[in-house]
Amino acid sequence: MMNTAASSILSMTNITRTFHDANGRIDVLKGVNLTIQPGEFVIITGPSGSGKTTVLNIVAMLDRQTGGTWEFGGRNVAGMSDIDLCRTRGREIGMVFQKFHLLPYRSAFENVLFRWRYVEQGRDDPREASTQALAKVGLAGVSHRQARFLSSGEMQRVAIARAVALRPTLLVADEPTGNLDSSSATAIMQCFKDLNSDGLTILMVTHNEHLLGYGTRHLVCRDGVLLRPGKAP
Amino acid sequence: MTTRTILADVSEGLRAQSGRAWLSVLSIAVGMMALTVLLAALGGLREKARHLADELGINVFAMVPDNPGTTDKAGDCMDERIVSLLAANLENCSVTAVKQFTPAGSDTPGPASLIATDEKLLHVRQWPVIRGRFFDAYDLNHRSRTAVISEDLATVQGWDIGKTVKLRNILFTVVGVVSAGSGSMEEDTPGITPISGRRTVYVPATTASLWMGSDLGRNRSVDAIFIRLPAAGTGMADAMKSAGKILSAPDVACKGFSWITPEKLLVGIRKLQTTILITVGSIALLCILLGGTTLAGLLAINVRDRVQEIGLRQALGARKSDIAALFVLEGLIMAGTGSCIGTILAHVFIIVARTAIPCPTQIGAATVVGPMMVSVVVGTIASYWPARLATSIMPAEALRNE
Repeated sequence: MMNTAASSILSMTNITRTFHDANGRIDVLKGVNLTIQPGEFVIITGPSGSGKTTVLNIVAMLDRQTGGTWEFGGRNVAGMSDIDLCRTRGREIGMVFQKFHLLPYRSAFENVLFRWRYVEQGRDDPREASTQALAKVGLAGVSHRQARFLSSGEMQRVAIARAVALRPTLLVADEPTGNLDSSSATAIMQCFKDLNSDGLTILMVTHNEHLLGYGTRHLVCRDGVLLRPGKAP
Repeated sequence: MTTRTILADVSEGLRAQSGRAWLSVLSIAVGMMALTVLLAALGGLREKARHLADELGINVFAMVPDNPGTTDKAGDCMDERIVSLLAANLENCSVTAVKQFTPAGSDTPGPASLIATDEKLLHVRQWPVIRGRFFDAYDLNHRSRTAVISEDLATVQGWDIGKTVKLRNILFTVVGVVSAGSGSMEEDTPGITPISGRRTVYVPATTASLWMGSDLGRNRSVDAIFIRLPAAGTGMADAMKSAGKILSAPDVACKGFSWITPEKLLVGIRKLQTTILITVGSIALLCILLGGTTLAGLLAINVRDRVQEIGLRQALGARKSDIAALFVLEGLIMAGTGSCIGTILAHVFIIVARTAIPCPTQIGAATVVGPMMVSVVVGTIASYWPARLATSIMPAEALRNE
């Protein structure tokens, strides 16, 4: 077990997240435990409000947990400063969203190149890496088209290219097929599958249980905890 | 970060709100135009004031008759006796006088003045000799027919040292050229020609008595008396008080004259400065406030409209300071653009309409740098609150699917 945690990409122990609103305290996560090994493709499903997106936000370092501990690449995330979080998030985590979040007036290529906007340039040439990432998702032919003129499926593939262009340690995807028709969704999932086959570790959240076959592991989020399928909280 | 990256970032917001962005830029441009005109006018007036003070001399005051040129002269007492009295009684002060003759003569152009004076004038007015010499005691004692001309008259007439000119039917030889004022006083104070040295021919007072045949044997009248204090800015009021006592003594009883001081010459300019500062300054201030408010509003709307983009930037590794910088930069670029447009338009306006503007203007570093600095302040202040608003956005909230 120790060895497993040590070699894992991330390891969460008893993570809680509490929000406060006018009606009082809301415990969204009530003790999440999650370990992801390199090369895994973990899919989390669960009903709305179960906390799966909150888990994803914490993993993506877009949010901080209220309690519990977790490590990313062997580093204690709770002890990281805001600047360290930004740096780690920018360099090591790729994100794909349901709503794509592309910059509409920039070309597909520029959107992928935008991945380098807030990270220090590494050994890779950003322009070359962007071109390769677009080619990998099958969009080399539309790289100079403005994002607002792309189809939904193309937009999501540009978003994936942007997420993976910097070769992140972990790719997190929040309902990546939520805004797509079934054929586009299938194409996107195949894209994820290919990336995973190339060794990329993926954590995905979805409502769509038909997509579970693409993953290597399935977890269910229910009432603020993560469970193996079929196990009661 | 390259310029291209910065421009691409800023254009992201401006494209989405191009109408409002131009409105903000326009408001700031109008404000900066008014500010540039204000700075140019104040600069011009300041320069004018400096010229005026320089022209009379910072430690010089003059005495002129209240009604110059009239036959019934209340200031008739202003004559060589008074000059001698003042010179003898005002300790450490240099005193000189001038007498104006018009027209100057057949060789001189219409607006030129012919002034008779003594050798002390050069010291009292502190005018530099450009070429040749000023006349001296020898010229005065021997009634020599020498003339000294002002620099601008030399330029206009093409006269130089050695030139013989006919002044009121007497031939004089030009022996020197002096830099005698810019004529600033003439523009602002009509009737002040004897004090101003512009386009003037100076001749020895004793020689000029040849034109005053009927005055021979009497004290010759003068048109202005100049008194120079030993040091700048000290004791002018005391010296005027002493001179007043001398002139009001029962055996002198000299009345009907006025004092001209550097301060008095500047009164009109100061009034104009205040008027311009209040009127143009108010317009500039209002326009800049309006522009700044519009800019702040635009940036706040931009923040609201770009919440998801802000979330995306944070997801890609942007720090709070990066997000703040994005909006501050946007504010600065819009304010800077407005400033550039306004400043250029104002300079074009000043150059084209210089003659129509009822006050002197001066274009220089202040009219370029001033609006730029104000635009930096306006851009920074206007973008401060929107930038803070942007940094308060939580990435997880910004990127919600709902």
